[in-house]
Amino acid sequence: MREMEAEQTTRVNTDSLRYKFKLFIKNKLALVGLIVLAVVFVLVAFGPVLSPYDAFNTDFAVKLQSPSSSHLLGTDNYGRDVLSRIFSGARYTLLAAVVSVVIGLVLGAPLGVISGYFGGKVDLISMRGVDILLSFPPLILAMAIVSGLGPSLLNAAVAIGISYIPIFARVARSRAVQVKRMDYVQSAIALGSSRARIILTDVLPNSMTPLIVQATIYTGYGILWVAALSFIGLGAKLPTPEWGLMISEGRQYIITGEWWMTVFPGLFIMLGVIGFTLIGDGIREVINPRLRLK
Amino acid sequence: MNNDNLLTLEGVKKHFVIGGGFLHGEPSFLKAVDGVDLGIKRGETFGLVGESGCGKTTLGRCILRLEELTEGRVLFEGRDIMGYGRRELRMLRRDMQIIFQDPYSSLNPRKKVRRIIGEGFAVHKMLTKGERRDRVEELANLVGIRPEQIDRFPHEFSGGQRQRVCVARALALNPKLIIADEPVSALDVSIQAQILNLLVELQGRFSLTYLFISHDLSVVRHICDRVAVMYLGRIVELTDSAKLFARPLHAYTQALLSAVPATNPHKKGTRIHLEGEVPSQINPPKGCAFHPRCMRRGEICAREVPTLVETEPGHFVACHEPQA
Amino acid sequence: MTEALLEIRNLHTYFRTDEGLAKAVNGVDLVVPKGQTLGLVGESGCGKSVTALSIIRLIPDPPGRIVGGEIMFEGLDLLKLTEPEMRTVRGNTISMIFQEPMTALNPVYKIGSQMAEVIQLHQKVGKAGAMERALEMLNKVSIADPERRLNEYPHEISGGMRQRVLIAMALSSHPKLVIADEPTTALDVTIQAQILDLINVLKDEMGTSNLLITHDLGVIFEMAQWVAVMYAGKVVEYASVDDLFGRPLHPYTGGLMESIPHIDQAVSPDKMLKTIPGMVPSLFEVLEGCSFQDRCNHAFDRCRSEEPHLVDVNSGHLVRCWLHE
Repeated sequence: MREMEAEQTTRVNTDSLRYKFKLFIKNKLALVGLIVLAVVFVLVAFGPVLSPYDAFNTDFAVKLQSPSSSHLLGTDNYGRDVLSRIFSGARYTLLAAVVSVVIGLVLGAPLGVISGYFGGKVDLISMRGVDILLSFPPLILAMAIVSGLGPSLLNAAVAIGISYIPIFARVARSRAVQVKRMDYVQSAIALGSSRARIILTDVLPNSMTPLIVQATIYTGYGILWVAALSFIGLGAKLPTPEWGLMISEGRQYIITGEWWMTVFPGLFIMLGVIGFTLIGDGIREVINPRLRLK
Repeated sequence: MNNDNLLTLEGVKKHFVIGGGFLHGEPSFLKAVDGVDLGIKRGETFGLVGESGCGKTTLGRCILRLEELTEGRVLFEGRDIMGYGRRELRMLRRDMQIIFQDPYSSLNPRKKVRRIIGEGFAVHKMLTKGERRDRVEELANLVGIRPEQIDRFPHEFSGGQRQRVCVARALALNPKLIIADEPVSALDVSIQAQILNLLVELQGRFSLTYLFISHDLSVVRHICDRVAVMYLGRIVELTDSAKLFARPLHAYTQALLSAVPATNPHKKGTRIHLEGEVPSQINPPKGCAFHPRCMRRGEICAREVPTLVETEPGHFVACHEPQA
Repeated sequence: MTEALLEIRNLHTYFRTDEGLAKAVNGVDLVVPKGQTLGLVGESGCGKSVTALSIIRLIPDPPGRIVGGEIMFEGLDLLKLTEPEMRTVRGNTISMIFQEPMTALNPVYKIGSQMAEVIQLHQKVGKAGAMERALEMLNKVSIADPERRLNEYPHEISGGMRQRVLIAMALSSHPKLVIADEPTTALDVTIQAQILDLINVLKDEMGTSNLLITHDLGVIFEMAQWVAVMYAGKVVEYASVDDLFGRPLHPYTGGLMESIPHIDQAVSPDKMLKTIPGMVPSLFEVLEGCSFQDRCNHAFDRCRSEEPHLVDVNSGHLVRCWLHE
């Protein structure tokens, strides 16, 4: 409502991080996401320390035990404590997901921004390249890349990262096209600012917010993709307690009734994805207020 | 004449290509500016008025080379700036600056006001850090921004205050010409007055020349020395501000002036009603662009484009039948 | 003085925002006389649009709410009506024309169907009958080639024509009161003139009363017989147009009139305008005394401690100022 844009300086700094955080918290779902993220972070940092048992220690005497007071989530076919494996394995899955997003962002965003700002032939060629990448189903693309590079967790992360490049490029490009039209960019041109300067100080900083939302959400998906690649044997290698790999190891035992080896890692993967998605949505809500009057 | 002119425009045209290209057939042209000649004298405030689609904003952007001309010449201090290379253009930019209409999109929300005002110095690698600091504070003070506000972000300021920041930014490099594109149209009436006074004051102090683009005739009358009226990419009338408002000769100018709501309820004049809507810039009428809506149109008006002719000293009209 | 069609008494509409409670309308009193045009003038943030929306009760709740006052229309207090009852008033006996013709029309429906929809809401006619009425109305607002327009989409016609369509829609039910919120601000000067003339002609023809909201004093002087000046959520002056123009009593009104460049007045040689210093106070601030005190050249002690009331100073000329009370 324009009526509310009175000639005044705002009382509360609605752009401060503290204010945004408070708004973020108001959203109950985002709060849930934040809690999940906190748990994940603790696991990534302190997983092995928190694990009651050594994740790699085999003990055939206690193999295939269902969840009990001594092994809260049961043991696997090697007698390893499932809970400890999940805790210690968090870092592999998570860090791989983060690496993939970083690759996608660092390579995709500048491409998108430059493409959007310069337009013309540069834009045409980049976006056709991006379209080509996008036309592959992400998993197939990742599989192809990993098969070329050789299976390993890092390569899986890189492969997923490459499949993310077009996504971040598109988001960055559409924002850059909007920002380019703003009078402050025109002003910078009129001042004699170089194109590099304009892109770095005017376009890029104002394109960050949608990129941050995308990055958060795709970290969540990254967990899924990394686990998927490990599941089919193109990611982490045995005996790494990566969650996807754990599911793969445990799948033959579902029929015989030892469900805890697959269900629990699966549960954690799900929590991780949901958590990041909720946070991403929460951030988006803060950035695009609906009923907030400015 | 060219010697006093700070800026001279000769036959300036800007046509935008619409559509066309591979698989799209023949392109059409949007003739935003379609042949403009004018000269702006040093130290004057030159007004450019017209309604939407007349090309006044595009003309301003062309002068600054934010758009490239399709045809014509722009002479700044006698030199043709169209041929300038990167380096010369950069130097030129210090002499010509712009103030935009929308105070909400003309400042980068992620930069503090201090950085915005001082951007010019960084771009042109001028002055030491300390000197820049002092100069920014000086400029802020000149436009009425208090020292404690300089380190704030744009969203913390009102529309009027943001325009002041824009003015400070424009002044930083000591320009000779400032193009003000609807600088007060988005502001409240009482703030408009403050900003207009500021512009007048600064002009006297720094010997600035203004190209004042606006659709608001009262404001133009108040602040401009000479005024050009634009219609569909061409100038239809150009003369002193006082003469234009007292004795307009072009039918469009007359209709425009009669349309402005009188601020004196006792002085309601007769309103001239224009037929029809503003035609599109893609298919402008043949001959005089205004003739379909003109109450005085004659047979010749549909055939020949009238040229801008000096019918009285200092009074130029583009019309086959100019009449008071 | 003529009979009142609409009377607002002590209206308060507040908005609950992250930055606090915004008192957008903070005690508004005004009267729209029957068969005449009342101009409601003020700058952004003064509460004029919110007042209009309060009358037809389109205030989004949350975050806004009408917290007090009365709006008397045809013997009823509109604020006490239920929503279904209000719906029989909206678009029927009270119509509203908004500022932006493009956003007020739905881009995916043809003009004819949008007009027919409005007509059928309040009048007992079938689709065919509604289309006929729509055609009639388009003729009334002087739209060229009306049959063709009925079949066109909003984006296919110009801004001026869209505004005419909106006027046609607003008038299709022969309302008693038409509220126009900045109806010509988004239009070019020559188109604005056409629309304003049209509104005047239709008002005389159909006997409607108008509440015209604008920031442009020139439009007010052209169109209205009565004026209410708003500042910081209140009416600070209310008078006939002649009285206001001849003798503005409130310092804000006077200051406003002096700060506007006039197209028909000689220009002062130094090109300076008299300005009102300072800025409009924040909607969140609670000020003691008169809300204009910080910007007023005539403020004295009483202004800072007590809020003045809206009093009749000169048979029909009301002002809210200690200078005149």
